[in-house]
Amino acid sequence: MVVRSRFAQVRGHGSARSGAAEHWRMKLTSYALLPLTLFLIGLVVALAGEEHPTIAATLGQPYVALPLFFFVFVNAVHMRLGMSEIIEDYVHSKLWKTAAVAGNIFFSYATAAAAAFALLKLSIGV
Amino acid sequence: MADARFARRLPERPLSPHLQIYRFTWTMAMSIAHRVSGAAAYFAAPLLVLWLLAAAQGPEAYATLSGIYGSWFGIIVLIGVSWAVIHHSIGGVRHMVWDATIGMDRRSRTLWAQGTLAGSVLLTALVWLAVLIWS
Repeated sequence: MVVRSRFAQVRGHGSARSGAAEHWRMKLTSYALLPLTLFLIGLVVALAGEEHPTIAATLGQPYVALPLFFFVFVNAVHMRLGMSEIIEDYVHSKLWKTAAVAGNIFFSYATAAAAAFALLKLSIGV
Repeated sequence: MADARFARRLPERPLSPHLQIYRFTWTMAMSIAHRVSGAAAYFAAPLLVLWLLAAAQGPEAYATLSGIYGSWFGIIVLIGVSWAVIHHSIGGVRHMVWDATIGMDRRSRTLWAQGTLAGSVLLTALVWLAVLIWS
């Protein structure tokens, strides 16, 4: 039988809720995004002013499309977490908060899905 | 806010401080700039998606998009977006350094905050210089 109180059993073991996981995910995505963002900026600079055939051919290359895939999905998670932090800080009415949180999730993953679709189309060349 | 009915009965008490009360510090300014640039990049994400979609769609769609992105208005927006992304990225590096408890003293943290702004302006200028030379 455990005689210690329930509080004593959990004290010092961290939060029982999702805050720490959210923080960790934010850190993880931000670290992953650093090289991916550098890649994206380099790619856009290299492709600026090029004609369509070059653009389509380059974006369809696996070594270009794959990092862009990573960027798009890691970025979607980062976007969702970052914007939800802003919503939690500024939106307090229950209705607006629910709408904003839902809209944020839709927006983050819809942009990622659209980008992934474009990258797939460019890679497979349909 | 105190209700008007009680205004005469309540003594004047200090309200909780807000932005206009605090003395300007660089770390405060860059904290705000980090959030603003992050939100700007968030709403600019469709610009990247549209670029990819237009490239996937075909030459006509891509030519239309290039016309819009390459117009003076498009270039101004893209300069702003690139600045936001670069600023937010350097801000991320700053947070990474602070997470490692490096540069936490007053002088270093101000330097890091100032460096974020200076670095972001410099890097954005370099990126657009590269675009100018490349294309």
